[in-house]
Amino acid sequence: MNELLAFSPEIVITLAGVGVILFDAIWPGRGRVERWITLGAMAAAAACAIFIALTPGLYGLYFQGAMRVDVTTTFARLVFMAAGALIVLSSWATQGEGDTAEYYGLLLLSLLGESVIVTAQTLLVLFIGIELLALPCYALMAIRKHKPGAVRAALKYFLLGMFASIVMLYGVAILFGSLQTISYANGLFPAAGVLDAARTSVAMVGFLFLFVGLGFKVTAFPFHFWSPDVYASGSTPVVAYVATVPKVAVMLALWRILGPGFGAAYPLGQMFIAVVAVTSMVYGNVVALLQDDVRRMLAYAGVANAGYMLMAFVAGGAASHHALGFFLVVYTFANLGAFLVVMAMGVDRSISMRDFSGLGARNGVLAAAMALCLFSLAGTPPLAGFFGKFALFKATVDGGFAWLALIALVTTVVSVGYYLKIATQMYGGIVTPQEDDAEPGRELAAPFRVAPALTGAILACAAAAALLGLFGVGLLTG
Amino acid sequence: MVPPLYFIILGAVVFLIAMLGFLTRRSLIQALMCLELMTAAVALTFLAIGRTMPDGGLQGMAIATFIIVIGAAEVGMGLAIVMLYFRRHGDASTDDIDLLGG
Repeated sequence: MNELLAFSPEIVITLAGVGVILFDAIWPGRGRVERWITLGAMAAAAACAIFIALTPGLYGLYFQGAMRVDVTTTFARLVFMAAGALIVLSSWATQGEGDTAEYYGLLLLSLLGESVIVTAQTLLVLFIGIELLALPCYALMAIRKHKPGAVRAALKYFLLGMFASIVMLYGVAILFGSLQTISYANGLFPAAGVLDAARTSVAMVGFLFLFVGLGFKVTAFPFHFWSPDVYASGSTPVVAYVATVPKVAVMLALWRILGPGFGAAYPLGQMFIAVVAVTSMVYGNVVALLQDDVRRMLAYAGVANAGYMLMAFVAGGAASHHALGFFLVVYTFANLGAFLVVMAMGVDRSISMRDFSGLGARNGVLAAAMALCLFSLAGTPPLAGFFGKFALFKATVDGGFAWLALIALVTTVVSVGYYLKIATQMYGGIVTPQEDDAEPGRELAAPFRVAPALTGAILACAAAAALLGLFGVGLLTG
Repeated sequence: MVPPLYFIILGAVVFLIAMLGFLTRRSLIQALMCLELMTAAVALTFLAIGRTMPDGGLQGMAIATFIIVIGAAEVGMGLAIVMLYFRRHGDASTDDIDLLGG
């Protein structure tokens, strides 16, 4: 009985996800009902998550220690449902996504996968969660079939995603052999000195393979190569989803696997994560600076942000955990907001920096929201992103990795460059028409309208990107 | 009885062959087959490692069962996307897909 209660959010989401698709099979062509069912299910799941948090005795290990419900789970469930609802709102009026039942069904099932990833306590359940997250996303990426390159993007995403997943699975096999267990209810890796040297090195190889699959999902540096192409041509609300929510799930799961003491006990693994973090930050920020397509720029910015998140695993400790959680929330909403603004600018075409020219005058609300999200991503005080980055950097310095924090700081300064490029386009009035434009500036001067639901979603993201900092203040003093 | 180590080595060799095939083959169907072969190699590895455990391999078998189910879901999704790609582009090769380019 407790199982049913503790996993009621997942049960609601599963029923709604399957139900929406069945509903469409029986009464086709009523997308309007399905989007309300989806939103209702997300609200109900969030309510269940809060109920579980408030009811004493429901937190704990379930299913023979295979899944855990605790504060992290509640936190993740609420973030996922909020982000999912924003995605639904953003595609409320779009053709191809918003009027298709499969879109809602697959989105819900993918959200279920996220929940499984965060609650998992064995590597097998984690793998099932990752597949449950990824398989609907592969299909969703191609849901806008007529968009140029969408199917190609979905295919690339699928092939590389499956490849990374299977390499990760082989890593699980290696860990299974060397550690004799795949459960991480009490931490996967034993304390230093328990394993002999041979088993430790085999376990590190397994960890490396495992990291390939997880790194792929969070677009850390050597495993990021799918993201720019897929972000540029996939269905934009789906890209906004793939760019944010899986990162939260996988980062929280990685923390559960490694725990606060991994770095100190396994210097080799710690060094590996540090190298990935540094290369992600440097490569992501420098290449983002060179991009003109805004979706590609956001993809490389995502690589850089994965690097910042990985710093928490190098430093370890409770402070890093809290900083990571806060950074993830802020990053999710700020990044979601930026993607949704790009979507409002044009769903089916690529958006370059130049498209933002004079946006401040054409649609002030959109421009202000974009500016808030971008400056929050860049880490400008007093926005939430500043507190997230500050807490993360501070935890890294306190953990004895001042050099890592210094690199992060320098690359952050670099990142301000490309965020500012958009801001100056929006407010600087620098209209730079291309030479092949028949009537330069004509299209650029006209004000344009955005669907109310999309505007609402963008405003909610911008508000979160700006105001969540109020919670961040406590993080810095505590 | 054949020692489990042989099966672990066989699994690793098949995994490597399939991985090389995935990275070099141009036909999408062959790429999908290589992915399936990789999945099968991992399942074999789990079964072999499970045999070395004190529970007589039950855990390994359970994991392998899950892997087979997920492999089936994966190939279904893969074929659907390849079909869609074939219908839109008229061929089923990876020539137009820059797999490792950013």
